[in-house]
Amino acid sequence: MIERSERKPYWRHTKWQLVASLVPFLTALIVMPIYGVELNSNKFLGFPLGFFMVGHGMLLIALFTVSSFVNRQDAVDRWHGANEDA
Amino acid sequence: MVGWVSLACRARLVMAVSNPGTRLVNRRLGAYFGIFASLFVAVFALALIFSQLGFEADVISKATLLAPVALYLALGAACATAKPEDFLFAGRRVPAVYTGAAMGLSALGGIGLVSGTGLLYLHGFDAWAILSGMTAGFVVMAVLFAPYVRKFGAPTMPSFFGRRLDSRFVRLATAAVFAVPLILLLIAELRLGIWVAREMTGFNERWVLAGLVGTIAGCTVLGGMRGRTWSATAQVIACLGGVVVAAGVAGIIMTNLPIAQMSYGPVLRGIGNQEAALAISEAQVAPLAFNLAGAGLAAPVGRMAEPFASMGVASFILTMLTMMAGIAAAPWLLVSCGATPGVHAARKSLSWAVLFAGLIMITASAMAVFFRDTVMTAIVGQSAGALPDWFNALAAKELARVTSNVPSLPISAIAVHRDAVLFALPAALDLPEILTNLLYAAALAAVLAATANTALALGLIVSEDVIGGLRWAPPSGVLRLSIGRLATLLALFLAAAAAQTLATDPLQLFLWAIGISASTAFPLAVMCIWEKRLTASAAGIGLLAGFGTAIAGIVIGTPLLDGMAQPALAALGLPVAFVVMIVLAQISGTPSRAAIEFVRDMRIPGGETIYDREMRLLRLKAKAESN
Repeated sequence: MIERSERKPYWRHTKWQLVASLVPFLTALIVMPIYGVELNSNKFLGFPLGFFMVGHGMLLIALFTVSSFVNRQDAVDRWHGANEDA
Repeated sequence: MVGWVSLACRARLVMAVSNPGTRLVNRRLGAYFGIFASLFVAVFALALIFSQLGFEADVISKATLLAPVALYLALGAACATAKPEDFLFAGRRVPAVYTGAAMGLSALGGIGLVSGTGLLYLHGFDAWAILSGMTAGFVVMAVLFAPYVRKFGAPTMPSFFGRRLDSRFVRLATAAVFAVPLILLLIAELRLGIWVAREMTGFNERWVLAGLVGTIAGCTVLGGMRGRTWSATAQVIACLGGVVVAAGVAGIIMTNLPIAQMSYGPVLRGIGNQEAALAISEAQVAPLAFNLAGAGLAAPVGRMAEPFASMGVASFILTMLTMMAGIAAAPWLLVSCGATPGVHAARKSLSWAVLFAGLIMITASAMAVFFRDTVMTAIVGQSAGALPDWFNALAAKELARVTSNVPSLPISAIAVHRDAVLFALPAALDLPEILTNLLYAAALAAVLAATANTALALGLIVSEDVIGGLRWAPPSGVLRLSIGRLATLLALFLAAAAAQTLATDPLQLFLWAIGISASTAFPLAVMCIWEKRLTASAAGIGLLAGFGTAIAGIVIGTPLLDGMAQPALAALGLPVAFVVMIVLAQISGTPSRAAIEFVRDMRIPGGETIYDREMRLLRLKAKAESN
């Protein structure tokens, strides 16, 4: 079980993890469609790049973001002794 | 020897009970769902054989509808339970992958699959605002809400908010507010389900509705969350199997590769070249314009891969953010986290939800592109008298029409029903009719998963937070389950009656439900988890302000601003609710010590599930008082 003195550092660390996960993801979510026309002049796997990024690309970025969040937050939990097995 | 085995089993049981992260998970789950998948494949293989032997198509359509439904009902009946922990939380033993799969399909629903494919065909790039917004919602749910909702482990979201703020008023207010999007969503999915089942079988509307309600009741009323989760897992197998097989076969014909999801790029660029040759406009609409097709016949707008032909750039981003916020805090999805064995599994389940929902979405996009390519090559440039048979068959069912008599038809003169695109592809590619039936079965599975999930969430809110909302201690197990079952049935019957009489577009209802969820549940969940000083009065007033603004946006804004970003109108309440909560939290004093302790406990993944601990203490207290 987590020590009482570890609670504040744990929550601070968790908040940083939130920022590190959501800020790049939300930036990509908002910025990519805006440049859809420009990106479409390139191609990737035969797709117009803008179309690919807003569909397949967003899915890949979302998968990477959640998976890395699960992994890193698990490490944060263990580091501070807040994990479920403790 | 027997003694050792018994001792080992007991040790494992004690470990599982004391450590929520390692609850006993049924190791035969894979085998059970393997059997379901085999039966599902067998049904369609037999149907294919019988159709080749010359059996009537009508009989085969009905059999391919009824056989999977019978399997879902059998699963629902097998999950019948009389234990509250099974009925409310599926025993908290559902592994992350199954929770995620069920959650992904429940979020997407029939509307995401059927209407989503139609929108991708008609609007191309712009339709991704809705679909990618849903994917983003799962990411935000995983980071902001899921671990904390799972640590509390409440059966409903109003119970979570009520206990977090130590306020029965908040519990009742959230129950009343959340009921609105849940009812809208239930009506939307039922309306689409009626349409799909009628198109598939030609049954009378009343019979179809009775069948849908009976199936959903069978999957939820007997087994509660347990029945809902396991039948939804079977529906994921049916839905994913259906769309992946149909898209794979179409992919082989169109691109020589069965992985249609990744191989349709050259087809899309080919469409772009044709559009350029036909001088189809590349013009973009005003930033706040929102002109997505309704339920009915519509012609494609603009170039498929180019953005903002029917939805302006600001509208696109607002719609995506609204979808994200609405899905992230959706009261009908978040409660599924309570079925996972622990906080880590709850986080992981969202990775699976992204994967399953995303896979269905990109498969749908492949089918939309293939259909657009078929229309471009087989109809555009032809005269109205030289249309292919499959198009004439669609026109005979009033699912397609040519709106011009010019000798060389432009794409803007070819109108197709938005919700018929998914099912029209096999016929357009001259594929066996069994693939159309497979797609109908996939769509029906998606409708059933979403409807069962929503009906159960609404039933539990009524039973736990409205009927039993004035006291924290729940009634006895038998009474509690009986009320839960009756409330779920009542919610289903009311929604069925409304679905029969309301003639609104299911997609419109869906977007309103998501907008209201974004205006109410999202700010409240963010503030409850991430702001320790939030008080019950600030939360209650903020919630009602957000809800009022959302309703005003829908009722007043939609007719006044026709063609504007409609989902964003419903989400106008989001900033209003945030501002009201933040300001009132500063001036409404400090929350109780118990509320602050609750937040501290909720933020730590380790330890016992808070709700289970509180229920255990309440039982002990009641026992001590009776003695």
